[in-house]
Amino acid sequence: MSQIQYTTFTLDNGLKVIIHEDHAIPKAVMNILYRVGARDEDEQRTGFAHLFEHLMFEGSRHIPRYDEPLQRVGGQNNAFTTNDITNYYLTLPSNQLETAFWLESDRMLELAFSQEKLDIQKSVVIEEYKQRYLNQPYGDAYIHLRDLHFQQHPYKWPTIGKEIRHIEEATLEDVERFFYGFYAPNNATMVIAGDVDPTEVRQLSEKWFGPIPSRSLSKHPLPQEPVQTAPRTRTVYGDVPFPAVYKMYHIPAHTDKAYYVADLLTDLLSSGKSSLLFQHLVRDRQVSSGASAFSWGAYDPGMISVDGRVADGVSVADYETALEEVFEQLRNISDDEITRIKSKLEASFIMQQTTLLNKAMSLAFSDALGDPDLVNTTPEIYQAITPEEVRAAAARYLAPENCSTLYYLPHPKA
Amino acid sequence: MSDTLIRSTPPAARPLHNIPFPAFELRHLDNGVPVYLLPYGTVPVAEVQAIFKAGKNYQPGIGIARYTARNMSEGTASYDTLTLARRLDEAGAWLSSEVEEEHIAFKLAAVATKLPQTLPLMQEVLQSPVFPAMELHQMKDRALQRMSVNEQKTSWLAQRAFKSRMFGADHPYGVTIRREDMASITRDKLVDYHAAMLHPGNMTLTVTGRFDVDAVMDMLQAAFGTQPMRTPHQGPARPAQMPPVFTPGFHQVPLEGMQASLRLGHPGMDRFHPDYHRMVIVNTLLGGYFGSRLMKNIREEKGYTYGIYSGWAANRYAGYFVVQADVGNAYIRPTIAEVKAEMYQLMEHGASEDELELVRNYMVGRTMDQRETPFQMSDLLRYAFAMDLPLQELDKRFEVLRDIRAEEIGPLAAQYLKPEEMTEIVAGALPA
Repeated sequence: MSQIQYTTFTLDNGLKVIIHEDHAIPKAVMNILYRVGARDEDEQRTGFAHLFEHLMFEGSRHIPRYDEPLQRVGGQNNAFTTNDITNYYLTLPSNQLETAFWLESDRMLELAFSQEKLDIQKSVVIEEYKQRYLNQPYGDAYIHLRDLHFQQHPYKWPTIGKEIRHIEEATLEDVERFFYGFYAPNNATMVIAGDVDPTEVRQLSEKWFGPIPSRSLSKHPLPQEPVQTAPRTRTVYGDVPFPAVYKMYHIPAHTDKAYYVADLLTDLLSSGKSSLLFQHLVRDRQVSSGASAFSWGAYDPGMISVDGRVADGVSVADYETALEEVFEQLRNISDDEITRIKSKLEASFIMQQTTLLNKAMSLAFSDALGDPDLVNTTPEIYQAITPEEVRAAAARYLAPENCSTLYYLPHPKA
Repeated sequence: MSDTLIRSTPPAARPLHNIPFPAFELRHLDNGVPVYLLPYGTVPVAEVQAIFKAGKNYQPGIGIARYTARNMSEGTASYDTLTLARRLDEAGAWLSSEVEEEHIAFKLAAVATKLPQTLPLMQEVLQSPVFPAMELHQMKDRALQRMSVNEQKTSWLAQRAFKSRMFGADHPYGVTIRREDMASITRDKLVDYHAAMLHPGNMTLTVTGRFDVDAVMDMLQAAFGTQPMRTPHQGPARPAQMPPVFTPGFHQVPLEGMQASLRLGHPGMDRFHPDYHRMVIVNTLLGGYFGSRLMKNIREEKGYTYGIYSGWAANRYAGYFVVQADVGNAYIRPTIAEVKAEMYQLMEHGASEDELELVRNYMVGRTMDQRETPFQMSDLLRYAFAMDLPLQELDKRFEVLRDIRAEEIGPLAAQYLKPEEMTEIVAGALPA
């Protein structure tokens, strides 16, 4: 598999810069990852990192609107917030690269704070909350499940916020404190990828980002999640036509090699038509009309999620029995199936190299995990996993005492 | 150096360059099937696509095109569904189908060195599907359950109502499959549809990515070049024979909740209309991108919604204008009023050269994102064949963007936008 070539340097203020050249088309990407996420929030003020991400587009010290000058030179941008990080990215024609430096450095330098902008974005985020979580069938399932699965760690609340009230109560003072506590060159990684000249990137980095002072960060130690020793369950009711069952299992952090084995389990469970969940729950037993699994690789120990909609007329108990049979299959999975899933995974890594943005983000995420070279070594980590490790991981993680279950049920008939 | 840094003025803008549609090669299999070959990109992957003139416009009953395509990979003369899926997995390849109004396509995406072992699988799916009755039965059963979930989603309810009122509930562009339609989808109909439509006479092949042209042609010849050529499907598509029935006016689809999904719109024009590209530009300015007037007003100044977009959609035989947003119940009426106000504003006062220049550059720049991968080029080719567009037409947008003048925007908006004659769908709860 071809390697992604890159070079790195760090400015005096602590900003780490990674450059990847690809001259296939006259396009450039700038991706800036800040090491701040919902994990850094106060439990009484959740949703703040994400609300703050919105405010990053509302104008900075010298530039009243962020989007417009970028669109004017043919660029576009977006951002997202996770529990661990906030990631901002833009693409633009490569001959306009300096515009990206101008825009991104100004909002790292200082935001233009205003009560009016804060109020509008609070309203926008509240509508986002409704649109994505509250006004969808099963839309708030993961909000309930996270809260059950994590009892101590701040991963217990979602990036959108624990409740709308927290967003409503955010103040301008919170905004300023958050900015100076986390938005700093010494808390960021910047990736520049595409049709760019490394010498010029270095000069532009010095010119635009060099003068930004490093800041003292308001990082605080987080409570770690205690080991779960017994099954947990919770039941909620909603306007849904069928019961759904959501299960979460604790797994190691992304920085631990064991994470990759756990992740491979979810591929075996849920990747495509040949997957165990589809073959057993949906097709053979017909206890589910759709089931899936994913792993969440986080800075601190994360989780595997296995969810399924219970088929019309089937009992939740029958669904759970069949799911246990799937886990039994996984504990005895054949070497052939593991080889197949690895082939598929390797091909998907190659496919992902077709877009600059994917490469730039992978470099940034890899660096945030501690080593930019993970962008190249990750496929090898998966290839090196042995069938014994997979079967042992199935037994270890997908165990009842390691599981939190959310039953999402239709309102009882009146 | 930092002493002289001026942060309040942007760096000088440079001239923007298009990514023109690249040179491709047209060859034919021995039986006459055309093959468009487009080497593209630096990553050693490829996509082979078989595009058929078929789809919802050419089906004998609702759902037949979709269920035929979906069931073709559920078992073939040589492989059952699980074996087929596993063969693709072990090669690291993906075989998928697209079913639209104007076409059906099958796509095989893989690392290029895996084409020799996977093209025969694609051949099996296209030529020897067995349509197992059980797979069809289960697929329909799952679809019915998905429908029950969708009926709890305001966006799905709004979309269904909008299409139906735009074209008529039985029009190919207006129809959303109903429970009663599912019963009439039978295995026999799928077998017949496959035989009648998915044959070499209706087929075009495309290959994009990094591959050896001669080697791929040999493989395609072996897989698809020996099937006897047949007469292409004759006769016009159903939308050409069936005039749309538009129902304007306010229409509510009730569903209890915290937000409503809005769909406001009216008939537009087909893809061949001479003003099509101009109206896409006008629409972009009004509501087609994140910096649009609708987004600025209704999200960035009022905070009524997470996002609002408008579209100037054009199918082969008809098109429409649509504005869509999910808004809190208290903002439903104010949002509808603001959308109309923005339409009138554009119709009466047009746009400045400055605003047009911004949109022009934004739209030219997007080709960097839309023409980056071989998979995107494959989709562009598919779109052109589905719409019967000559491939040069794919670059027409650039000429229009270059030539359009600010003075044209107002008159175009006034000619084609009809704020008084819209269908106005509100799916959700209305405020008291």
